[in-house]
Amino acid sequence: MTRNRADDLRARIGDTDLVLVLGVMIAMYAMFTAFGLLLGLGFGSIVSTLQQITFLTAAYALIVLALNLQWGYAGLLNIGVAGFMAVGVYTMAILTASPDPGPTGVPGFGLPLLVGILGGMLAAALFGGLVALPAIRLRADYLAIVTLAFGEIIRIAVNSQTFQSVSVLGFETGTGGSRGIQGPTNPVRALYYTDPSNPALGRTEIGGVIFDAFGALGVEEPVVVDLTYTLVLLGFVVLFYVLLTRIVKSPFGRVLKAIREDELVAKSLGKHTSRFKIITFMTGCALMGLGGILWQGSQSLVTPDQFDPLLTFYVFIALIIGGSGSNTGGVIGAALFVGLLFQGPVFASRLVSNFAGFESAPNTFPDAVAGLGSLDVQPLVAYSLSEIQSLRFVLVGVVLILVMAKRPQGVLGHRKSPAVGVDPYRRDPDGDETESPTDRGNANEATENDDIFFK
Amino acid sequence: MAQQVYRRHFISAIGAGGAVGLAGCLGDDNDGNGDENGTETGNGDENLDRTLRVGVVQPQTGALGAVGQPVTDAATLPVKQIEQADTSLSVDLQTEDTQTEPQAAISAAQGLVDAGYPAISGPLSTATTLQIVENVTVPNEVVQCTLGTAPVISAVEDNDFLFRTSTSDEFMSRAIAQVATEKAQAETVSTLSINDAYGQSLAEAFAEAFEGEVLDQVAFDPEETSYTSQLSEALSDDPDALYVVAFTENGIQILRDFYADFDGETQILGSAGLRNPELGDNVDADLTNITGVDAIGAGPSVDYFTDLYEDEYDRETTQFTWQAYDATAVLLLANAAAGENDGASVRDQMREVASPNGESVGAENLVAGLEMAASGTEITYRGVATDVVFDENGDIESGSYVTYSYDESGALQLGERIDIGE
Amino acid sequence: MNIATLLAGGRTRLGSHFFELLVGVGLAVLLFDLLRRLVTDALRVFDLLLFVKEGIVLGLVIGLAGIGLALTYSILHFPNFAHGDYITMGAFAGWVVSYVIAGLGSFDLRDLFLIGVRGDAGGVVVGTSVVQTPVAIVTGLLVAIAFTILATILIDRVIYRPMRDEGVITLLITSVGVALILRYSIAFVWGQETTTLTANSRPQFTAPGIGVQVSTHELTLVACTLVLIAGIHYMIQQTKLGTAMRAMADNPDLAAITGIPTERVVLATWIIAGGATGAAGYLVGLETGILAFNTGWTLLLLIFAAVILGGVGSIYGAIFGGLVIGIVSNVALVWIPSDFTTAAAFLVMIVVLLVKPKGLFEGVTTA
Repeated sequence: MTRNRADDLRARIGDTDLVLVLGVMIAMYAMFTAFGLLLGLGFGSIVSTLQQITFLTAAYALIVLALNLQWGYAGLLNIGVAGFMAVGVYTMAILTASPDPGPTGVPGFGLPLLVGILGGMLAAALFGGLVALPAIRLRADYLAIVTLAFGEIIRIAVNSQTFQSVSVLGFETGTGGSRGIQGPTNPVRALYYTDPSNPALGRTEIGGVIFDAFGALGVEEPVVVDLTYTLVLLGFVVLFYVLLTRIVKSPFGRVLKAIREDELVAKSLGKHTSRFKIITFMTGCALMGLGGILWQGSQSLVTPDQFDPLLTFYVFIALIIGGSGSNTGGVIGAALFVGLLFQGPVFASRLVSNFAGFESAPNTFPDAVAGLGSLDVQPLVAYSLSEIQSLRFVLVGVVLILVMAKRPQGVLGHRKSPAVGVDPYRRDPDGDETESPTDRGNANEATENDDIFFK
Repeated sequence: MAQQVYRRHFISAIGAGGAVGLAGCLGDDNDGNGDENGTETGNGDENLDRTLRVGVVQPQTGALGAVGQPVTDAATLPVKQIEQADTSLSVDLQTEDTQTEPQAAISAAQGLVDAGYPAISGPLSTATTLQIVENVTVPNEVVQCTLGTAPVISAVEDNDFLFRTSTSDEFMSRAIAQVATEKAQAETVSTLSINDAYGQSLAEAFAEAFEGEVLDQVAFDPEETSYTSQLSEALSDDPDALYVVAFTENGIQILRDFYADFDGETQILGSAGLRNPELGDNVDADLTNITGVDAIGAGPSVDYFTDLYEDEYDRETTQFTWQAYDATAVLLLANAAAGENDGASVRDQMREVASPNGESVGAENLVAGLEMAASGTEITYRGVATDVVFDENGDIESGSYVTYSYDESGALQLGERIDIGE
Repeated sequence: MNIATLLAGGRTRLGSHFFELLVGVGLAVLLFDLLRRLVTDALRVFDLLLFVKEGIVLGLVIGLAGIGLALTYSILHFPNFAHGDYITMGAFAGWVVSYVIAGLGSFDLRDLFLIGVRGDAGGVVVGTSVVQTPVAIVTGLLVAIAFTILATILIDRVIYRPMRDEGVITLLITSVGVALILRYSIAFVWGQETTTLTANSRPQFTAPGIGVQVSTHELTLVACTLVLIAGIHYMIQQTKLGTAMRAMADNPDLAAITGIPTERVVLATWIIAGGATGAAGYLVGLETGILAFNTGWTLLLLIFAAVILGGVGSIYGAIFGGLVIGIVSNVALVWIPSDFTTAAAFLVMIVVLLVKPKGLFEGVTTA
């Protein structure tokens, strides 16, 4: 049984995909371990660093996969990702917050976490529908700008004093304005601590054993807790992946790809393309809401700063690097983005500042280039290091342009899943074109073979 | 000239401030945490050959990037002093950028903790502070000394690892409410505040502290090209005074619009951001209707600090630069006194380095102060911004404020001192 | 045509009329409420006029900045997300020159280059304003135009030209990359603080009868906008180049087949758009009196709203859209709190797109 399932899973995901993802992650781990060793970090600290990389990769992968459903498969350009995440996370936080949070907190409805999560997804989907219903008939670039404006409206709303505290049907609640609303206590803590909200009160039995084991290796308690939560996130990444792969392979998904390739043709075949697009958009938004909850909702406080439009562009960059239209590509893109563009430059600058003291960095750009006249580049280098944060964004821009210019289809873009059921150009049924239906006698319908996977 | 006014008032008031500080310190000695390590400090000379480690987390890019950069510079200034001085102590300071964004802030702080820094100075905003406290510093037993001003920071369950060198909004608002009633003689006030946690929090705390009536509370977006409409809304009910909570760069623009489009007769109550010696030049109008309140330095070292900062970075000190310097300085002093780069030991010395009877230490003799702390001498750190005496929540015990105004020529005048205690 | 399509068409037509009706009723209600407030003194006439004046000034700022975007959007067929940063770039280039001219001799060149972001040469001490330093202002404006033209051509040659045949989304994302590079290069050189650019905008004029004040710099902005619109109108309507541009906007393939030298038209488009954008950047700095590395970026979404509102491709549409956005986001204060005024402007854009998906100046291309 289990073997069977593992085999099928492998057939679904494909050996090469798993190998690719693992390969990229191992490369990232190797790079950050090297950073850590050069910075003189101990084993525990290196574990903590790798934990963070994994957490961020998983978090980005969740959002990237949701976006891939909208853009990669249905061609709907949504640049309001941060807004939809905010709707999900805020709804969850308001539903689960305690009705009596003390003098400084924001009161909520005190519902169980699961209800909060489902409510958050539902709210994100409904808002998605609200935007998509009228906007879906617009041109792709108009839809993009409408969603961007929507994201801003959401951010303005949660930041505003007007909704800081409101009363709904006699319930006092609100968004907390720019100070934010408290998030739920991370449930994985319950595994380790008798009182999850206050670790100081003691550990559970399992907690004691695991903490001791990791402690012997020099890994601190909070790192173990974070590591556990990261595993939960990874579980959700697999779940998202499987879900999306199944959607894409269903007849529904084939219509989506037909719309992406040529909407007119799909229409003339009698498909209600608008309905397909709206459902896809709403599903994607629900997943963004869930991804947001798992990521931003897990950090104890929910604030408007977390949903800056820049986040949307980060998610896009990750998807583009990996190649839109390929779920595996999306996951790899998330890893590459986090490793090379988000955390990489930070570590590189730590390394440089550790080895090259630049106490004498000039304060202004004219001072920095003044030395160039006499071929003295040292002031400019020192100035650049002190302004490394700006240069990091320049680097992100350069990478973005290079990817679009040299490889607009992304690292795995050539794997864009084709719109037809059986790829007419494919000769070798065992090739690595795993995104197209792996036939093995079942080339026709994924829906009819649902049980393959759950056998 | 402004300086003389300031000094006179300062000297007349220093006794009161000292007394408040003394009472505070006696009160919190039985904290339980400070006792055992308090006696351990006299370890002698090997403590003088150490490297003191401290991390700085501040916004350098993002929404607060413009405010955060000068603040970051101030937070790293103690290192420059130590590097330039002749001492066997050395400092290892690493700066990280929060990007004004919680995820990046958490990553930044985690990076410092992973690198073994026992203490973190910063960041500016309350929200980021809370996220770092909850996810990074407290679980890892690392001391954090923040600049966030919201009252909520007092209530955090932090096992005493969280301190702050800025005073709570509550104190500031009581001071400004007092000025509104006594100096501006306003019975009705409207507020115009920057639309972020800092502005919202101060505006609300003011509404609570003010005895008169608060008419309109208007928030403005810091990236607006003009503030005329917001001003018009805030002034629509003809308040006696308008309380403006803004950073200097928005403040200049708001005042320009105010004097250009309105009669300019409404009294203006200013937050710390409107206290700037160059405001008169930049607004270019008759500013005599402005009265404001800002924190003041607790010792002569504020002048020393200002000179040092301007020499080093070639720009004026701005809001929160003093508190940022204090945060790093007190963490370094506590570290020197603790004799080891360990979070819990540093925490236990945070209150000791401001013990009431010690040798007075300020910005001008910081290096000497570090040496004294390392060799076990009892010291009293008198902060640049205010007396750094922490209560049981890790808050500054009392706020010392000064009123300011502008004369006909637009020159900044400092007025009387206001002390607000618990 | 089958019956289903016919029905769908009918439904859409009915739907859009329904929306139009709804919007009409909404506007009528708001207008009525406005009058009621004025009559009952809940709103002072002076306040309303002030909102409208502020709206017009902001609207012109947005509209002027939108001209370049409208041109490139209609002829190159992609939304240029770097447009906001072209504005910032033009403003910095022009103002550095203005400062150097106004302050040379009395200030250190180094300080003048930093235009008051750091150093000792702030707008007030250098004394930059239309009345005090007209030569510096005019030269700065010309330099802003010239510099932005050169920079946009360079960026086009290096980045956009090799990708001319890519889809709209590829170009959109590329332009996000260009935007990041420009914005943070400016931050690298000048830092992230906001500078106070001008000394003052006096003298002020009081509009007779209504008491609203208008400053010299606001008047300068209005005058320059009118001149720019007239110039671009002439170029597009009266020259052969303009005809070619309109042809390309309508159908690029057809234009290429009929022998229009498309690359030369693209070059001309960037020149006109770059010039208008550089001028806009400089004038936005003059009118608002402030400048920072992200000035253009924060305006960008409003500019997009204006351009789309007007119907992409029409410069009058852009100006008109800008005025709508500007006035809405100020007059909205009558009903909603100030933190929602920008949201109201975006909402208006979305509503207009629902009622008239092709914008208010539907069908008018590049004129």
